[in-house]
Amino acid sequence: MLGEMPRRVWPVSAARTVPFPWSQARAVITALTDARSTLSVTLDGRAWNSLLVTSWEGAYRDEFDEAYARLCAAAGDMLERVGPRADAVVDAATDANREQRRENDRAAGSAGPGVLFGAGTG
Amino acid sequence: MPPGISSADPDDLALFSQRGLDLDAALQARADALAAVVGELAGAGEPIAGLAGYTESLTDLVLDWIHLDQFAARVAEGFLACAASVGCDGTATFTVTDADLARYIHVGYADRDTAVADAVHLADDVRALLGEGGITAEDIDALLARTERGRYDPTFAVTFSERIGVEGYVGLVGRIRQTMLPDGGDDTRMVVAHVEHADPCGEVEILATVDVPETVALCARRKHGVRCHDAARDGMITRAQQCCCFGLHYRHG
Repeated sequence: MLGEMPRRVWPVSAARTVPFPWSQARAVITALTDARSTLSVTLDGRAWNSLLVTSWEGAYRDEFDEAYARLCAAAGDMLERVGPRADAVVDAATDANREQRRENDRAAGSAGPGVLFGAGTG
Repeated sequence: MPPGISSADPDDLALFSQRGLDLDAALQARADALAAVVGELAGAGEPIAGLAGYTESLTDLVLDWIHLDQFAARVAEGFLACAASVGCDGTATFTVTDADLARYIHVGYADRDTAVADAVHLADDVRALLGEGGITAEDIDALLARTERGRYDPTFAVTFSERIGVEGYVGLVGRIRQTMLPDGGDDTRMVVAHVEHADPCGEVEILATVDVPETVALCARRKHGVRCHDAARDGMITRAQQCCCFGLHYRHG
């Protein structure tokens, strides 16, 4: 799995809830992970498939190979970029948690001792 | 392989293409799923920088792969047809001159980006030409020659159509009529631009016909979203006219 999502910091009573779409963010991480996996499978599969057409030669093959090389490079680039995209989602969730802790602290400061903090998977 | 010679095992090439398209389908499902959840995340008020761009790039990559694998399929079809013409069944490596192969291959561009670039370039040149005076038949011929590959390429066709628009088509056909037909195309038997509402989803089909003095049989094409009227059957042209069809399936907004 790309990018481990942090456990959600829940608002304590009387604290403002920091809005963050946790379920959607998790779904994005899952989708990015799936995309990365399928991209890898695609590249591997194509490498094996190319053994089928060792006898294909000529001008059309040259044109195919040129485009093929470009797309393989693009796919490789996409594989490299997927991690940072997932990290950006995780960072946004981490920021939301940090802000929620501040809100919780503020609420705790106002209410005095005895206020419970919560954390969970949301 | 010497220049001007090509070879392939048509069946293996067709299988290669099909396996590529299967991989494309799997990747397209992932790209669609990613686009959906990224859209939901943005819709929930949390657009992550670079995420939408990444998703678009992935979708674009999938379309590029599909385009390339369809190119391979078209080449396989060409080899198979060429082999069949001399009694071969396509189960062995077939070697042929490019000139012979060209008679059986109807293939666009391997690279979708090249198809787009060429279509944009051509559309811009057509627009520029429409704004000029003194266009010759050679100018028109040169333009049409640049559709040699593109007319078999749906990406080229769509890009060209979107770029030039209906008005561009009408202007182009008018110029062709003025330049290449006797008496400026004052021939009531010939329909030079045929526009119809083809179906309820807002598509318009446009047929540009160019008259040159040579008797050639006509055929209708209908492949991969690019289609052309059977102008001969529709009685739209006269016997001694070759119809140079550049039929593009134009989709309105």
